[in-house]
Amino acid sequence: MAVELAAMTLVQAAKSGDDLAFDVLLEPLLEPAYRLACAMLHDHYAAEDAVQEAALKAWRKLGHLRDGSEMRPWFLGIVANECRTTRRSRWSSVLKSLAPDKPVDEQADTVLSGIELRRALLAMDSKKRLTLVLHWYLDLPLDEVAAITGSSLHAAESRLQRGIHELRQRMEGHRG
Amino acid sequence: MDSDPKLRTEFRRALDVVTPPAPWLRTTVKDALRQERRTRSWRMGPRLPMVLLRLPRFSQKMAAAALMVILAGAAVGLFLAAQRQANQSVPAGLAPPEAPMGTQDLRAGTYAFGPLFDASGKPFPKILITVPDGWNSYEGFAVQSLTGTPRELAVSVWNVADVYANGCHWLGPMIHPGATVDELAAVLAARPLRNATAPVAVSVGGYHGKYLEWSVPADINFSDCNGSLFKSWNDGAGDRYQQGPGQVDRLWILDVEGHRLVIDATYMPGSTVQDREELAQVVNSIAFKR
Repeated sequence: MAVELAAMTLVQAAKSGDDLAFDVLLEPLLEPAYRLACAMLHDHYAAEDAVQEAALKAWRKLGHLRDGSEMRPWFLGIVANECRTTRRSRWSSVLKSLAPDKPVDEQADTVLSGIELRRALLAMDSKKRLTLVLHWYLDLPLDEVAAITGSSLHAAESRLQRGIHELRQRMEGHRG
Repeated sequence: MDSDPKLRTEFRRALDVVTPPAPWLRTTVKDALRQERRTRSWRMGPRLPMVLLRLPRFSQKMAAAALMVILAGAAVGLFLAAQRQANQSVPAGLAPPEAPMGTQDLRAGTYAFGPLFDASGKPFPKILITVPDGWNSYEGFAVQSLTGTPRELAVSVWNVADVYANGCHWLGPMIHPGATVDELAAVLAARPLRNATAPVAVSVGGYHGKYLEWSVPADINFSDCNGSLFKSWNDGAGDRYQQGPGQVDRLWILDVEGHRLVIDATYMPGSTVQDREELAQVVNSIAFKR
């Protein structure tokens, strides 16, 4: 509770123009933001750009963060939007990233199933993909996933289930 | 909810492969924010205090009206100041005008840059730079011309604190070059990738020091560098980034009243011989004034 209160005070300070407060709030969010962007884009250069652009947008639009709202879901929502925009304009790098990045370090079947999983993820609609990544990769609770994706808890749950189902079917088909 | 832990593990592993560590991300985001804040601070002015946005609707209208009056007054003030600046010639015997903050076109003439502070917090003498038409000032510490083109030219002044050991792979410990001209010259000359010339004795504006040239490799791809940036040094407030492959920097490292100051005249590989002569003329015009 004390931590939440301190974060709220920081949000208020940041909203009233305290750049240091903004930096303190942002710093612990960069790592999950980068993981989210990498998982959505499968291109770490594009992911770095997306996080940087999201940080600038967050700073510019801090006034839009509603009082009482938490910074993490708000910022990760901006990152997710940025990834959507980036993905639309960077189809070539998304295609390129389907190739395995570290084939030498992994067993061939692991590499192949990794490729297949990434393919399946990229083929999903963006909200399903985002829900899966937020919950399964970033370990965020479903209520926060719902806040980031702008949907109800029930919708987030059912999207997650559909996403898992799609992944499972794809992997079963891949393994024969 | 996680009915398939095996699939989840595979899923995480598959995404870890496309998520390499990016330890420089924090630095690059911080730098981008700092740059954005600097730019906004002169272009946009400070953000509106939030209290104004939280006022009831009627009060907002009143506040908006008051704000309009203030902004109109400020606009008139800025217009008059701009007029004064545009008309500012440099009459003999009078102090040259201060170089404006932000990025502003300059009329041909002499401008005072500074104050720049040494490590002890003491201001250096003001630096007077004479530019021909077509140059602009950048943030009060640099002048530049042909900005954003392959012929870009610039002269900037720096109080170098730490040097990046490798301009491309700049993550990791930086080199603190001591306090003297010779120490910094030696550190710069020894940097890899920069093809630096041997430092030679030189004098600018009555102060002595060392001169050397270094460059950015013409065939380098910045996206292969940490954070896609090629860096030279830090001055305690910000980094000197390089603008592109093949860029050349001519560096005068001067001892100004016992403190070290670096003048950096840079040109891009697309610049012409005439451009570089113009750059040299701007450097030759440099004088110091207490």
